[in-house]
Amino acid sequence: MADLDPRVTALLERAADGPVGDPAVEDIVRRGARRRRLRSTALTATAAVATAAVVSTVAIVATSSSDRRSQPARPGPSATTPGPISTNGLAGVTAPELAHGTWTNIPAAPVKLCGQTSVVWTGSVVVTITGEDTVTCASGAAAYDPKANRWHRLDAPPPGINGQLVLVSAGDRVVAVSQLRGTAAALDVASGRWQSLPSLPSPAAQPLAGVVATGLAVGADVVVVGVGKAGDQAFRLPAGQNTWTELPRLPHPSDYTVVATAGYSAGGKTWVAMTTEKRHFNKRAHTLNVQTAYSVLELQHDQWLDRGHDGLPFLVNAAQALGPDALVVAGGCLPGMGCPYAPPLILLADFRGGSSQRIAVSPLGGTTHEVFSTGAAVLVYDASGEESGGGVNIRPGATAVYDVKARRWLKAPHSARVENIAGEVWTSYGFVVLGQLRIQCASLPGCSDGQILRPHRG
Amino acid sequence: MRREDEFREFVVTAWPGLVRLARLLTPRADAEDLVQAALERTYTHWNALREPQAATAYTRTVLTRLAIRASKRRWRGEVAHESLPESAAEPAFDDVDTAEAVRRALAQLSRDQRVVLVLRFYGDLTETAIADVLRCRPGTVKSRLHRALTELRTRGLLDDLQEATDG
Repeated sequence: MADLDPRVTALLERAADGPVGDPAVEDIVRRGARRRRLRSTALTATAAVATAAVVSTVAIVATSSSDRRSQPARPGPSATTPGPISTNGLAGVTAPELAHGTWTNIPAAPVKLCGQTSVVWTGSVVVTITGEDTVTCASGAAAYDPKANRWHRLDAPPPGINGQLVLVSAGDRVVAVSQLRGTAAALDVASGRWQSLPSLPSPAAQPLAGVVATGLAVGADVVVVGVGKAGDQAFRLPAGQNTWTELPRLPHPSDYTVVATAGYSAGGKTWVAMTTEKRHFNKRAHTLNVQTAYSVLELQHDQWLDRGHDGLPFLVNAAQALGPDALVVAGGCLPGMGCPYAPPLILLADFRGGSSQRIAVSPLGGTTHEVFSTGAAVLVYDASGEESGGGVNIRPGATAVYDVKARRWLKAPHSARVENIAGEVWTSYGFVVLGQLRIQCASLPGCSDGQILRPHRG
Repeated sequence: MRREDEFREFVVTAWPGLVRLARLLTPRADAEDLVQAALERTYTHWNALREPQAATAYTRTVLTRLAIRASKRRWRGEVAHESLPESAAEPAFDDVDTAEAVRRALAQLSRDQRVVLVLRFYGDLTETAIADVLRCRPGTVKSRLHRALTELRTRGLLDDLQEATDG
């Protein structure tokens, strides 16, 4: 050991080396004094602290960040958990209700679900568009009514509306945009008829994640956000109109590229959470280092406001509102990103208080996740089935529920039917998973099946 | 000297070493936050920690326990930023590769192995002292240390460093 000691010490010293900023001495003294006062009144304060909600606890931690000494003061954090938002029809459904829910099969769809299947909840039915417009996998559309537990066929979508789609339900129509081509069409849900819309302009360079990354309903308007090396773009389709208007480009550092975007609009707020990345090659180690950051933008008066961002490796997959001024964002890490947490990463962001909380989900692995919020609970669903950081293969369909108030994870029932995920959606009756992506599925029976997770009620 | 002034002087003096220790204890990028949190706790007990050595030892212990707790808790707070994050400066790869390799290796050690390795070889604590900090038995420290060194050796890091330092 004796000859080893100096070598290990030298190793560690090298790893620890690097510039060190100045300490925020006055902050430490001020906060230390405050901490001492709190200790002296701990007995009386304990009850209040224990009943404080997630955001208030987070705020205490957040204010210890070294970053805040260079930041302007923000309004104080909310002391209460944001109220649930009801746009997904499941406001207030609790984590135990989800964790004790039951997956059940739904009837086979009247069209064969194959290739890519996309779904959107309109408030009454799940509109499902599937297929690749090939001989073995024709494009088709159908609507599932979970209340009646019944499907009805819709007209097949026009050419170009298949494969990877962004579907947005706004007003009495569903707008479908091809993620890769930018072709667009609108479906009148009542009549089941399609109307073609102008295509979105394609970026000059090959996009990393398609022409259109995400779409969201802003009232009865539709906003889509595109990404690509030529620059990220956003467009609005006003209610009742059939022409796109361009919104300002999303702000992010010019040397970063947008790779993933998720959006949500509720309670008069419209957010887009996006991941940007910058790559550089380590010549000596022959490794590609990927540096990522996420940003959260709020759309106000056709302007994007930066509501928070961080440099932590974090590839955004999904975003949903948790309550007024609060957003839950889920994502994961890819090889080479040096992610310090087990994926997926969950961000509970309270923008009113200027603070946020990250949670890593230990029960799940994989890199692609859907996230669904009821306000009281956040359901996370692994759609990738990829290998987790611990080397454990996670079967796709794994589900976990985060109890926002209790701040703990609950295991939720695994969807036994689904091999790979084509579409997921909240309905007011539960969480629906439809379709399968596996090629083998085309020749197997039951490929048009779906499942629904119904919360356990009382 | 006033009590606060003594503490200020201690913070300025101890800060760089504590930040470097924190960088090794946690693979995350919040080393300065952890040190600041540890120093806030030191401040609350400053009356009993007038001796610099005692204060340093106390802060290191608190820092270690905070790092362990933070890694167990798997969440942390953050402050929203007003400006976009700084673009990463292109690193001088040759200079940072070894350090990066060590940091990666540390990050892949288990939390317990990483902590004992750092406290033993960087913090220069005895196994008994480490056991006190971690509230475990010296034998546990010894076995964790052995496994951590085996892990580093398996990864060839010790040889790599020898070459780098010789070169």
